[in-house]
Amino acid sequence: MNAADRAPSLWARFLAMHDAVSRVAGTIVGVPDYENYLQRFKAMHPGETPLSRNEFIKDRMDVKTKQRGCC
Amino acid sequence: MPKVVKNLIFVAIAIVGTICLGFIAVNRGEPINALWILTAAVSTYIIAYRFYARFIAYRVLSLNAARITPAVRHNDGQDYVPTNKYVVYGHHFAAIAGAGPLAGPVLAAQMGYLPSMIWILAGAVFAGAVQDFVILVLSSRRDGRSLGMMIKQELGDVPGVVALVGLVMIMTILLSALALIVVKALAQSPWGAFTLLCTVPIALVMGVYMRFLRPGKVLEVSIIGFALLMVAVVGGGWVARDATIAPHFTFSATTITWGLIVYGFVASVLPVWLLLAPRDYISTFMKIGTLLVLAVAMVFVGPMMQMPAVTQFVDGTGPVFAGKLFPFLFITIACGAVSGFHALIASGTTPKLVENETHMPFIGYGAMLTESFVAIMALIAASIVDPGVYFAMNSPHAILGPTLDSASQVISGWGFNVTPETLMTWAKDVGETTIVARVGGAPTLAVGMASLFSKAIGGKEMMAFWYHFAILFEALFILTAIDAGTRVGSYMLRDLVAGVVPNINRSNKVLIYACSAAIVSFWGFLVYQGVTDPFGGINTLWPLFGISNQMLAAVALMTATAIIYKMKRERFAAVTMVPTAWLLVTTLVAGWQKAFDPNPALGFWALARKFARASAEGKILAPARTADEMQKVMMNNYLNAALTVFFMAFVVTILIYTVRACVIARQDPKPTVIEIGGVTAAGVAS
Repeated sequence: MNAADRAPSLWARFLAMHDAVSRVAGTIVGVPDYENYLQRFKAMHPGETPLSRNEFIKDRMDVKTKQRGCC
Repeated sequence: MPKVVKNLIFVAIAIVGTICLGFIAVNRGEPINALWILTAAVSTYIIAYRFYARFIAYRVLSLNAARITPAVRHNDGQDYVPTNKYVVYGHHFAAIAGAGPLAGPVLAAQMGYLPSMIWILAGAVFAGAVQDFVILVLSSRRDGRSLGMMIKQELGDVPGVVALVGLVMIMTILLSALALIVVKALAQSPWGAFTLLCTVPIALVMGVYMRFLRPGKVLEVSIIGFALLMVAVVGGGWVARDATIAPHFTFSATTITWGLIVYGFVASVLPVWLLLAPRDYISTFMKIGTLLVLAVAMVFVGPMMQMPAVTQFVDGTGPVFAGKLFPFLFITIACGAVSGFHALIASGTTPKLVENETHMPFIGYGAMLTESFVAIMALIAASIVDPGVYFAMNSPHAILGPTLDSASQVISGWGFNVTPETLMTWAKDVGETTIVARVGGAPTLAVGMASLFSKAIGGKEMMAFWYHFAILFEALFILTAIDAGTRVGSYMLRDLVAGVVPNINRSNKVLIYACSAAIVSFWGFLVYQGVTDPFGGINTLWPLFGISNQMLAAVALMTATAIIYKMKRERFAAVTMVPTAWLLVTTLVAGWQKAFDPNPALGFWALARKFARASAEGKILAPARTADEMQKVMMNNYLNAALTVFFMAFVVTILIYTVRACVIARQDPKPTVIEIGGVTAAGVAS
């Protein structure tokens, strides 16, 4: 039995859940979603190099004009 | 589930809601349990969502699942990202939920809980949620265009510019009202000041952590930030009890005002990732988390309403704010019922996230109903406090006099018995030196939340912790609103300047700093004015905020009306026209009274004249102590009158252009609306 056949460990499942919750929480709160960007970029611009995770987040933060702060 | 069963369920909900409302109506004499109000509210929301939102969605706007939304059309993985409808709902609610639904209902409780409750429910169902929902749909059909751009496109260039100027002004007044709430909550409170001061380094640490150590791990960094904040709340308690350190953190209202001004400017020009973004994350989590906990606590504890259903202050003599029930109740509760600001958000980031038109009722209408529920909870929190204590906290010193004795005498004279001992005990229990004249709504809400939470967990010993936790909760997202709002306001001002001055580079650093400084000075000046105001500041600023905010809502609804006419669906236009008419009546009457009413307690002009006459005779009226201060109070009130008149002119101008647009649309036999994705006579995407 190789690694692919073994059921995911408890820790792996916890990490996956944590990632999912983080992504949802992040979207609600307005954090840039890197995985999504990567997917879109690879589909739309095959062959080009996308921004790294750090670069992407820095870029999105700098560009952000927050329309939050309602009454 | 068969249709008959579904309909029966809704009939049952309607019956439950009606029984609750009936119970509330019949029991106006004795105290009732808050759960009646909560249940009535939730039943109302369910019925409204199921029937009215659907009506607007499918009969008026013809939402079409096949129409391509901007998120799907552009899908760039950055701004346009088709997102799950529950997540967009959460994002939209987090964006619209602020301190407004918390402050307004607390202030309005002076008239009793019943008028406020009715307005919060009816206003949200027929005006607020309609506005949010309709603007969301219309914006997404215009590729996610902002409200300002929609006004320009649908009504004309002149109203577009007028609207932009109005928006900048409204934004600054909002910021000043929020800032004043924080000032009044933190003045003379070493515990509160220490805790809030801690939030700045905590945010900086979070910002650096997220940027350099663990990018993107927002949940992780927010948990760390939250833990640090709890330490700050506890630490504040030690600071307050220590006789040597406490005086260093005991600031006057004026000092805190200056601190906020400096903070607002610095935070709005620093890079977003360093301060603004981490503050935003943690305040959003705390906001949503605390509101959930508050709802659960209310259901669990089932507190009794102590404030009467209706008090004598519907006649306009109230200490918290001047003015009769009509129109001022409807101005005081803005965000919990209807708020023009939400139209900015509904035409901002949210339309770029929605993946399907049929999600929009849930997101637009639903999120506003949730905010209305927050307002109901705030109303309940203010009403479960002893009314005598409520009035002690929310009346200014000018009315209560300088001592606990004078305060309790005045309040008992109104029919709400309270003793100086009660006031002193409450102050000790929440860890403050005094709770008298802590106007602005935040301390009252904190007292209500603290008494509720301590009944659920911890008992009386935890009351001080819960009180300061609640102050932190509200102040945290007010501060976030202040720095984000200053930034947005300065961008808007920059756009205005760039539109007028040719060839100016919008990224010019000097321009950026100048616009930030201008916005900060404007709201800072209003806050400073509020701090030195004879009637407590909130008395002046909150009505200005409510009037301007609801005028903005009227403008958004007017734009929607014009579009509905252009869609040739004017037979349904009552959906937007009726709330517009109501908002125009209340805001214009309130504006007129605030500007020109002969009673100096109500009208700005009258107050300015009173001080002008006294000054000419060489007299000094409180709270001015010198001839110079007399002049200042006079000038401030002339300015407030001018601002009010400006807003009235603003909304009437837009009204004129809207009527014009509707008349022109009527004359054309075919639809004249321009949407991205096209439209046929049936309003279906081509």
